[in-house]
Amino acid sequence: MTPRDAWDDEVREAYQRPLAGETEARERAIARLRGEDARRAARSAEWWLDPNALTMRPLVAAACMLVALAIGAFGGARWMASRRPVTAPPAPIAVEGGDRTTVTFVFRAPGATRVCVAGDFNGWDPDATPLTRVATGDTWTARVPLENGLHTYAFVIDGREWTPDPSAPLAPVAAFGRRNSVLVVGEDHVL
Amino acid sequence: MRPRLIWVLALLLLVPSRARGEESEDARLRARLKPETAGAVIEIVHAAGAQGLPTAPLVARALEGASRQASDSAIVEVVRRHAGGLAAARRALGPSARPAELDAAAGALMAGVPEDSLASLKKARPAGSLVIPLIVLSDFVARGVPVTSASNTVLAATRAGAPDPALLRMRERIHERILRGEAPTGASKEGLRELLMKTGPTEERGRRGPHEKGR
Amino acid sequence: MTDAELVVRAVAGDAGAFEELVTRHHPACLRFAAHLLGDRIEAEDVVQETLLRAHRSLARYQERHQFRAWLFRILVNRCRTASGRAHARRLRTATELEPSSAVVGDTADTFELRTRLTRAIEELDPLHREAFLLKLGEGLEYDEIARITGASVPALKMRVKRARDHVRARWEELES
Repeated sequence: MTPRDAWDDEVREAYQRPLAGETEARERAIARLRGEDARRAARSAEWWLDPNALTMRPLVAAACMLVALAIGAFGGARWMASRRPVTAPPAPIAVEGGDRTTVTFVFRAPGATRVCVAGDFNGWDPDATPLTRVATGDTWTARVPLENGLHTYAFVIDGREWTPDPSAPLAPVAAFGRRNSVLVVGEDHVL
Repeated sequence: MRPRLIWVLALLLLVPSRARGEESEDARLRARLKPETAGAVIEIVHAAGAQGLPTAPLVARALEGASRQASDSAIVEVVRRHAGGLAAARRALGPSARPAELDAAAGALMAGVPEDSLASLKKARPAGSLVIPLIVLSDFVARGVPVTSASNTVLAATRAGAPDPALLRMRERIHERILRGEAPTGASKEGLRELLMKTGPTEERGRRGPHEKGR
Repeated sequence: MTDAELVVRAVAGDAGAFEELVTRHHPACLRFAAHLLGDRIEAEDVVQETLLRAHRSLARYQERHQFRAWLFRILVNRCRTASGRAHARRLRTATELEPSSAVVGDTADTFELRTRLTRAIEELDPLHREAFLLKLGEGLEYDEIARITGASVPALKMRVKRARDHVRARWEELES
């Protein structure tokens, strides 16, 4: 075996120098793993855990609504008909319904005490969808069920600083002088 | 219950969900905006809805404005412009365009992409969804790639048959180049070249890279 | 907590345990792939694929072997597939694009990892480069490298020696 010398150490040192953006790359890898977990969990989830299980075809809905009427729950029927998106806290099992996918938002905010995501899906309410900090680091995440389609959003740091998602496409127009990010949820992918 | 009553109730419940949707949209706007502003925005939203344009993006813009504490006039102006953008998007993409496509196209048009470019994009991918190409195009423009260059890049990639994930990867790579200090136009050309190298067959002979010299 | 303990937890369904493994090993995976492939961005894709596969086949990891070596075996295979794809690439002619864009023949060098080390190893073929990086870069033992690459220890020693001679010569050239 060739004896080690100073040159070996020099090469080793050059090789082991940290790569720029490694942290961000690692976070992207973790985000992708979580996405895979969600997809796998969804495939094995029981149907009755699906939040869309209550969505039915019109005639069936009409029949059920008659029952609801009979017990005076007309308001409940109106809610079902309007299909307002639910911003529930992250579910223990990520569920993929026919028209919805649970998306994991990931954001790195060193020094933040509170991070939320505001977007089309929650009426741009800066408090409605908080992220939770991962372990002891600077990374925050949230899992949000989103309907298929295009969603514009931004992160809100400590209730006052609005910022786009550095890893997402930018929305084309800064409507109120501030940039947003966009994300697309499709039938078989989240992009 | 009498059959007729059942049918009347069923019909009532089957009233187009748009009417119900409208009600809930109006309610959300009134809850968050001042009465005058809400009124002006609702008028624009209803007019757009009557033309068959998607109203959710308009409501979203208004609510965003409310959350960002924008002025009432700014909110109304943004919603009005966006409604105009949606109408122009429908002209460019045709009546079969889906809501998400119209929203994405509206953004691109408002960012300065000409209607011609959108029409060319539609020809390049007549059947599939244009949402991702439009988003990628808008992202380039937002990051400083000149509109012509951005449009040509996305058009060339789409014509080459690049699928959506490839377009998004191309976007990421171009973004990284810009972050490293490359001029946006050059970055987009290089990004396109990389994508084309991975997309589809051609008759050209390959160039062997440095990793591929013989053993 | 050792890697093996984290694997046990991860197999039992603890997502955080696998993420901790990723945190520990991602830097090494990325630097290996980046130096081997010479492309930072491609390297990231390959490492992601590696981690996904590792996650899916975690139950097959056997405690008596080092986790990193097990992970690197998957990584090396993914890198080999990636280089295979690179070999099959073809260039399009410039005429389909704007006439001003010069496409054929030039290298996009700003995404390449252009350090002295990568330039010194770029003429090595993939097998020599693997051996060199695993031995001199990662500092692994020959029997581990043998398990990772599927080559015999004598063959690996020969490759490392030849690679080392070549890289050292290039290194001196690049210094001047």
